[in-house]
Amino acid sequence: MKKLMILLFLALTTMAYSQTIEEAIQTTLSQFNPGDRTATMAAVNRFDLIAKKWNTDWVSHYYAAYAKTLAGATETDVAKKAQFFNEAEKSLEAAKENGAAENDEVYALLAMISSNRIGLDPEAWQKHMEVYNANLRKAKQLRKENPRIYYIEGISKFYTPEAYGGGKKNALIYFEKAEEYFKNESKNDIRKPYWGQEHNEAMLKDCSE
Amino acid sequence: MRLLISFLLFIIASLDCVSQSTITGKVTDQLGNSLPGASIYILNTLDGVSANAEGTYTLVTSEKGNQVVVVSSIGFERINQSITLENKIYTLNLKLKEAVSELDEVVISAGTIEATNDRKVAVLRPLDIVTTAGAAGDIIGAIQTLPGTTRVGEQTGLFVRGGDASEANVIIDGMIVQNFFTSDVPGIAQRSRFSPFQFKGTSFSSGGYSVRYGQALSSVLELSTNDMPAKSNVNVGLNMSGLFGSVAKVFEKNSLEVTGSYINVAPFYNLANTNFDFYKAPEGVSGSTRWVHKNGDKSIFKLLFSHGGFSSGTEIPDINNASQRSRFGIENNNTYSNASYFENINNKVYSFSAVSFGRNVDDVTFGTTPSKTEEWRLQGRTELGFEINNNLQLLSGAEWQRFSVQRRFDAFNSGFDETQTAIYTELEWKPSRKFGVKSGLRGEHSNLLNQFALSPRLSAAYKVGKQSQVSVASGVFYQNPNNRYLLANKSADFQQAIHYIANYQWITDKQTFRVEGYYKSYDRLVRELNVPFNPNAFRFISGDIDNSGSGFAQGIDVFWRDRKLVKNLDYWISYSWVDTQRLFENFTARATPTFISDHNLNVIAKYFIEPLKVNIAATYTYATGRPYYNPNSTEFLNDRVPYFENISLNISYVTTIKKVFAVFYAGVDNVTNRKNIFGYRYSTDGTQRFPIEPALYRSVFVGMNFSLSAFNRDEL
Repeated sequence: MKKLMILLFLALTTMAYSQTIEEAIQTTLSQFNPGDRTATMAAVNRFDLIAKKWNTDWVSHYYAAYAKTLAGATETDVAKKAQFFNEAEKSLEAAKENGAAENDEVYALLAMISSNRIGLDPEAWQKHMEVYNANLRKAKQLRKENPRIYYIEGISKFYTPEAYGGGKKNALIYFEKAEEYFKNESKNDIRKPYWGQEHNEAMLKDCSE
Repeated sequence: MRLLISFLLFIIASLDCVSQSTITGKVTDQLGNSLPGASIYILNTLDGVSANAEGTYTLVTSEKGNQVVVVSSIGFERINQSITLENKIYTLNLKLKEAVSELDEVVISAGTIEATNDRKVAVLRPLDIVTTAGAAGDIIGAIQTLPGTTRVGEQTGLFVRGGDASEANVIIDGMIVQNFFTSDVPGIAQRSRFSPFQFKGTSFSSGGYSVRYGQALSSVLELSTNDMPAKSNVNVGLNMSGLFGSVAKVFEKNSLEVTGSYINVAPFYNLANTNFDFYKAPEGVSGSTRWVHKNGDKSIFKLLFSHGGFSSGTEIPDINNASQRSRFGIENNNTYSNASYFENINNKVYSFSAVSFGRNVDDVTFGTTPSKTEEWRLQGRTELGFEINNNLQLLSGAEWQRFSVQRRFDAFNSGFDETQTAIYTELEWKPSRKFGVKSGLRGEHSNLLNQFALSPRLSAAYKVGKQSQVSVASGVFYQNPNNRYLLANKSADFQQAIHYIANYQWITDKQTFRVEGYYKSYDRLVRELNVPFNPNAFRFISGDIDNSGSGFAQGIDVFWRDRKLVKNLDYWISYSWVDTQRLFENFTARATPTFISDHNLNVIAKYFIEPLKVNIAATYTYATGRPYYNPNSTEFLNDRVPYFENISLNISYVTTIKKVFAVFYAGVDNVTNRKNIFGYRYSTDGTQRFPIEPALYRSVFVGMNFSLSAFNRDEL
């Protein structure tokens, strides 16, 4: 009986995936929980499948990259972290090749990956910083109202030691600026990514204390 | 109940007109550890699941017939498993193999220690060089703490594995730098002209180096300049020997940097009590500009131009009469430029080309005698790298150099012009990730000597464990006779050295152990014929020379570095033992030269006190006593000076004041104020001896550096 119920559940969930790309992404996104490793990996794998099925649509690769970036950021094994970031960058390359070469979100996410790499490999910070800055510049050039740009800058400042110009105080202004833009962002089209507001608010609170 | 089952079956059947197959199993690594989060899916479908925390999975699919199940997990090689699906339940347990990462691949490294950011695991990082205590921020000072080197306090240059300073070449972006060091003042080791912050990579070869280079019997120090700066910034520094500033502006694909400095060593020398009197403290002005154009990962172009000059006046021991002092005044002018271009033509082919021009003029007043040395060097290199297949890589290139040294000593003029050309090719074969071989051939020609020579080079490495490898290297190296002979218009053939090196290395991201043994045979060294020994480096060369000299050097170098033992503590120990003898120049018998210490030990420690943001660094150096020439001794170069010992301390504090990033640093060299002696000189009649002393005993150095980036207000 139990087995049967599982089968039924699986059958239903499998069915649930035969949808449009937007629905597929939406569903996976709603199940995504960076705090839960199993759920995170399930989302990474699912986004990868979506990217394989709709491989000529940049948005599929974008979310695959997004999931991998977060999976990398929450991974504890240093070697695996780097591999997640490598994979995420490959996905973003694919996004660029499939219509997102001039999309600010792609460059913002690339910057986020580089900033994560600094933490991973602090001795090579100059090299990563160069890439980080170049991508942020490009993102700003394309759409400076993108709140994630400032959110990512804030995070990067937050984790930079105070002696090197980072710390809560220095990060705060970035989170505040991000907040302004997050407020005006519509959150109903997955083709216009809108993630980050919740965490930005949490960081904002942390830095204001 | 039965009804419910029937009902459910009906639902399934109606949802999915066709029936389904179920695949279940467990995903593990080779050792049987479960791999949670692994992805299992059917190729070309959306049917996929993830392994749970125990590594098990259940995949239900309506696909039929011959299908491919793909299993992947981060850090492992993907598996494609064929399966025929016929509406049944299948069990599929899968074992994944760990993917090859850079960490696991063999690196052909005998003879070379690299400080780089480009590799995931490196023996040293560029910053390690800058922060070594006692190096005073000089790249050579830091290199001299690495195994295989000897610190020769009264002479300028790099002394590697029994070789003298002329046997080591310094290379920047593929180009030999003729005047890497500040112009020589007899008896005082000089610093390099280049700031260590300019370089992103340092590759120090103490033997067996690549076919790309020649004309160095012992060693090549290869420096690569930074790519684009990370951010636009303004930088200002001030210390006891001068002040310097730089501005860098970063555009999208271009960057421009301008630097300027004013050097005046008077405050430093006044505080340090020098052993030599400076009637004019070293003072100089220099500047540089640099332009970088970077087109993603596809290509990078770098252009550097620098110009500087300095003057100084020192009372040094008279070179002809040990009991006297004489005045040595120098005015120097130096220009250096370098342009290089690297391009990934496609993912299989890259090209590298570089040109460089350097010119150096020293106006010297030695005692009352004026002399002037004018040198220049123009050179070019071009090379192509091909990836023939996954295991085979080919490098081919050509090099051309023209240089000239002209000297006027009082009324005597001497000089020479030389043109050297070389072609080289090197094949790298890595049949597996565990084993690699590099074999190369270099042909070089000297116009001045009218001679051609072929140097074969070979190196191989085998990975014996996950973190350890053994490697070997060998090669033949040629070098022109010392400039001293060419300037005297004496000619001989190439001198020759053959290296044999064996190395074991164990490296993790926090610890490194490295031991290297070598044997080097020197042949065809230049000898002066029928002259008595004279220790004076400025002696007049009157007699004939030939290539009848020879010698050997053998030894063991050990290096240990640990960053694991104590948090925030990084220390390394390098020890070298060298046994060498040679018969060359004006030696009267085979002997160990005066620039050799048999045993050399360096201990470097750096500790970061996190709450205070303070870095403390210490360097301990010990070297056994070097030989010196005693005219009263029956055996040639048989006497030894006392051992050398030095302790240096460095402390630095980093902070941010408003938007300005600041570093304050202070250092003490020779903390114990030990009176090290480098050798002795004897009066002409041999009855009196005078110690050769360092320019300074204990000295204190303080300075600060401020940098401001994000000066662009619109950044936020």
